[in-house]
Amino acid sequence: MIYIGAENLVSPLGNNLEEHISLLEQNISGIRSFEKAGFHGEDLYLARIPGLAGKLSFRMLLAGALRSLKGDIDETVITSGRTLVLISSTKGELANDLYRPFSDAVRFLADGFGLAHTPWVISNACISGVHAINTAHDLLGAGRYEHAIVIGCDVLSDFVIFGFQSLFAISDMPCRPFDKDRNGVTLGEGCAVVVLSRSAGIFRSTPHRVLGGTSSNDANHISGPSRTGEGLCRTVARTLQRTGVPKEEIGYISAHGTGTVFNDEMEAIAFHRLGLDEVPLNSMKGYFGHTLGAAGVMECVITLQSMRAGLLYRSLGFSCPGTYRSLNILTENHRKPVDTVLKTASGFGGCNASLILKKI
Amino acid sequence: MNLVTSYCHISGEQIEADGRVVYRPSGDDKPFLDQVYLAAQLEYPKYHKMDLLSKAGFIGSELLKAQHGGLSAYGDDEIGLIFANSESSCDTDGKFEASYLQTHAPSPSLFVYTLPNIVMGEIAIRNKWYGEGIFGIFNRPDTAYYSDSAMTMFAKGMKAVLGGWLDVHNGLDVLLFLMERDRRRAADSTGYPDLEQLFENKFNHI
Repeated sequence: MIYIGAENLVSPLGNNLEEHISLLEQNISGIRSFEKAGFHGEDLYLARIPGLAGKLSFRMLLAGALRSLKGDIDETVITSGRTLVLISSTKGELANDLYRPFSDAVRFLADGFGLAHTPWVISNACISGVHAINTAHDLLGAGRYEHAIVIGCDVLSDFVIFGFQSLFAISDMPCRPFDKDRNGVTLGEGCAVVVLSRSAGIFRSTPHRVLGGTSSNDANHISGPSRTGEGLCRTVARTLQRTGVPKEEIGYISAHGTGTVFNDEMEAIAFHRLGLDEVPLNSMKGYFGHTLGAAGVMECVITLQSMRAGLLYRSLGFSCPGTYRSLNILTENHRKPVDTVLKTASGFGGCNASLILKKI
Repeated sequence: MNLVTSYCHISGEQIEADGRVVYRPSGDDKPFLDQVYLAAQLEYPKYHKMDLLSKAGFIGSELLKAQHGGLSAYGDDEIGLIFANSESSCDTDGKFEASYLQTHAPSPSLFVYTLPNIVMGEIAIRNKWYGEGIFGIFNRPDTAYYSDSAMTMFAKGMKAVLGGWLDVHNGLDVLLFLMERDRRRAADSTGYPDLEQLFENKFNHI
């Protein structure tokens, strides 16, 4: 059995999970308009962390995530020879060194904390976070390590903002996942951490379980989602099969929901094909934007919190159904005990990933 | 137990597959990979749109398939991809950055290649493979990353994994391998390198 807990995060909504909870309950978004943030000097909606600046903000966030664990787990786990740290990110410290975007930050973290093993950097576009948790789960399951610390982190840069602008993929309003008026993503930045362990005893608060997950490629297009949701269907079907969870037991789906027309349509098609279209579902992108490589870990952190509190958060930005296949999207906060959750992610390169979280 | 059943090493000087040199650059002005694309008669128009990282992964995977005699015995979701490098997508990242800093026109066709995992999308599209895929970034090839990922993918239903090291920015430094869950090389292939030896032989800096 693999346990997961000690979750924490930094986003525009706050510097730790505690600060997020009341804002999420009030459905407050961290998205703001920023003057002249665009390539042509136009204002853009972004989810920026206040005060976060400088070329080394990526490594500072990573270090902060590791430090945040000290009250939440047995501290000796961090430096144990039986612990692996995994970092999920797309662009890392690009602002500092475009040609080696991870090397210095990884060394900084390993040396600064005295980590026993060099951290793995997992860089699979927007599924990086879910994929890193799955990878950690599998390594623990195979007995290669006893514990894993997964940190998802990406920081905003002109590089990424101008890139998404060049694809006409940025929303001209705070993103509205699954809504009929959605017209793109709102880019965000953030950092989140979870700990996985074969031992429940290392956690100060009761952990949940992670049953594992899978990934699948659409084999269709490098920058557009599959029109049939093929890869997402396959990964969810494989995850259900491998974890032995009947789909009827899924009480909530933490979807990817970027707010682009094609992505959200693809997800709706896939969940319909899977017979999961009645399950309560939300996207967290309306709260802290799309944080790319960090997104999967940040959204799992919120999901773990939702499971603890028995509270599913309203899918912010959604008011009118806007996909051909309808979904059960949360239009209000919903108090409900949730036992078993499906988390999904999809990204450029045609990649898709999913995992299952469950209460003990 | 050695599960490596084929490998292919691409440098600027030659391509070696399973211990045999299969291509050397001609005197031609074309980049080496483009020469190989033509010589191997791959005929895949999407190749010309790819960035250098994707071209290297594509050519390497095509040569591995040829070396192996095709992988058609496997189902479309039974082949996993395990790649890594030290430089992420920096070759194209630099070009995309130049497109907005110097040319003042951020290029969408460059931007879509500014993620290292795009090469796995290209290989999946080419072969209609829907299996697992992981891209890791390490200072040096980490054989535990490959062997652990292969082991966990095999446990999840993959029957073969194709992967390797893909640094392309400062010259081609590419090593791809194929590992199969249920197949071993014939007994007469004594001395055929396992994963550790493969990376030790090819990257003496390991």
